[in-house]
Amino acid sequence: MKVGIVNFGGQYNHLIYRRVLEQGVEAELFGPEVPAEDIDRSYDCVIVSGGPQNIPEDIARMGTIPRYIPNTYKPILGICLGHQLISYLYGGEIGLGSEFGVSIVYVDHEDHILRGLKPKIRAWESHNRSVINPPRNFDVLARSDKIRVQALAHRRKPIYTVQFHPEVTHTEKGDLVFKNFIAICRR
Amino acid sequence: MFDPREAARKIIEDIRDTLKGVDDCIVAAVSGGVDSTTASALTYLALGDRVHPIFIDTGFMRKNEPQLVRESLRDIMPLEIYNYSERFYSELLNKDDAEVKRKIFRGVFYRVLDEVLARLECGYMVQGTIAPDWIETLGGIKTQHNIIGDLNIFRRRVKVIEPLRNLYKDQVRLIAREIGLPEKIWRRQPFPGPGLLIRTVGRLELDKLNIVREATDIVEEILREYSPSQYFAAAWEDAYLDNSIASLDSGIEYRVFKARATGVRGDSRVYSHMVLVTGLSGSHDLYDLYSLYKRFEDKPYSRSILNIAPSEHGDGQGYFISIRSVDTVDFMTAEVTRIDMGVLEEISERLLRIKGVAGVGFDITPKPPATIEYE
Repeated sequence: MKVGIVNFGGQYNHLIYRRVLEQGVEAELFGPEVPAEDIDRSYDCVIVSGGPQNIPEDIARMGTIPRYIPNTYKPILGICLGHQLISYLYGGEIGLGSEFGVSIVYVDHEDHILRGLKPKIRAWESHNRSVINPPRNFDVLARSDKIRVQALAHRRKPIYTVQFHPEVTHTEKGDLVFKNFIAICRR
Repeated sequence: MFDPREAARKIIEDIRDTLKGVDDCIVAAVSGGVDSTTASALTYLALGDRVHPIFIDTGFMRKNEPQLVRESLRDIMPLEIYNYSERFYSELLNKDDAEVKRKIFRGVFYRVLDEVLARLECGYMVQGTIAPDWIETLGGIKTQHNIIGDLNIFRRRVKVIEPLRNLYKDQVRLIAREIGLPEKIWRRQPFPGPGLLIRTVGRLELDKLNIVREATDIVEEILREYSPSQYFAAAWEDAYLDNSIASLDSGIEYRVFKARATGVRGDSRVYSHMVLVTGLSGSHDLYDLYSLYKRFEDKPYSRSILNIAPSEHGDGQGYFISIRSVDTVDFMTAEVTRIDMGVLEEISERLLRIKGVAGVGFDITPKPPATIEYE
């Protein structure tokens, strides 16, 4: 099994790469210009991670990914910028709302992706914008005191997103998010 | 699981294989940090005295650092010290922008290295590059195990050996221990290449640099027993953007330093003013103090410094010293070390005895939104 990680230039992308390898599966980082059919052919599932872009005005600079996401049936995990991009593509609203360093994230619904994280974790954040209103057809799984939408799950497709950074060592039980996602990829 | 013995054996074998039939010599620049020292030691173990371990004294080293590093490596490899501090000072004095300072430093460093390579007539050099240094810069990851590449910044064609390029810092420490490097080295806190230059925040002046060196010595001596991942002192002018004290709704009083520092917010670099928290109304326990930086989350400042001493600041005469101490596994994120206020006051008392020091504070900003270093 091989997990593809979209590289939008975020500083933690190599940590995502490392965490996936630690789950005992193959991983590869790839640039956002890779054609959609190549992504589907090369990977069993995809992680869409962080970068300095802003949603929505920088979407034109995000290559094939904004078209790829709604048109694939492969499992997808969005992290930070990926969380905001996926929310926006499905009709969610993005606005100002920053968190840096530690936040307490309350897990209300574990679904598949946050299994083992209830009731709350100390999570690390680094974002200037947030999902203000979640997209339809998604369930909000977690929140913090300041930001209401910390994690989302699509009601029918295997699409999951988190605003916090499960890949950094300071996030409690972050490795479980990757373990859970790999289990979803294996189904 | 990662097996340091097997990893070290494989690296040494790879270096020997790669350089089979080559009789050129190899320069290994050691900074005393765990990456460059381990990379150099592995190369030395593989090839013996064809390797010339050197230490370039940039003038931005800690107290007695070159001698201490040479001494601690005595049983592993001979280290030759090249003192180029005057060259670095003459190009960097009075420069104040963080990026400009870093760029000039890098330029001088490579020119100096170039001279050493030419003098020793070596065509190879060892670098302590580790995985995070290059993974990000590439669009795609290929699982390559090549440890050698070309570097085109020198006058002569130099080939670079990067024995650690597929490893992470924690793995490098395990290898360092495995091959017998002293605990002082493998446990050592990271020290940035530009050293005290980037802890002498803002304009580089020699008196300020010397204060940073003295202050670092004191902070290291007292905080050592807490074993933080990285701990040091930085200094900048005790001067503020405006003379009044501002306050937040929550009763936090603060002033804004003229000095700026780097930070990282949402994958973008920021370079902005720092805040000195001077007063709190109501009672706050230590846990509250450590989360005060959250109150400035929506403001454009790079970090929050808690005032330790004295209570009055800011005629612009003298320097402000910031005590920095963080805990981290991989240096990608970092949490501020919990230190008793009594200990901070003890450090502060000693720091205030250094001539030219006007105030002391404790940096309470994690990474993100700050970086560990200041510039």
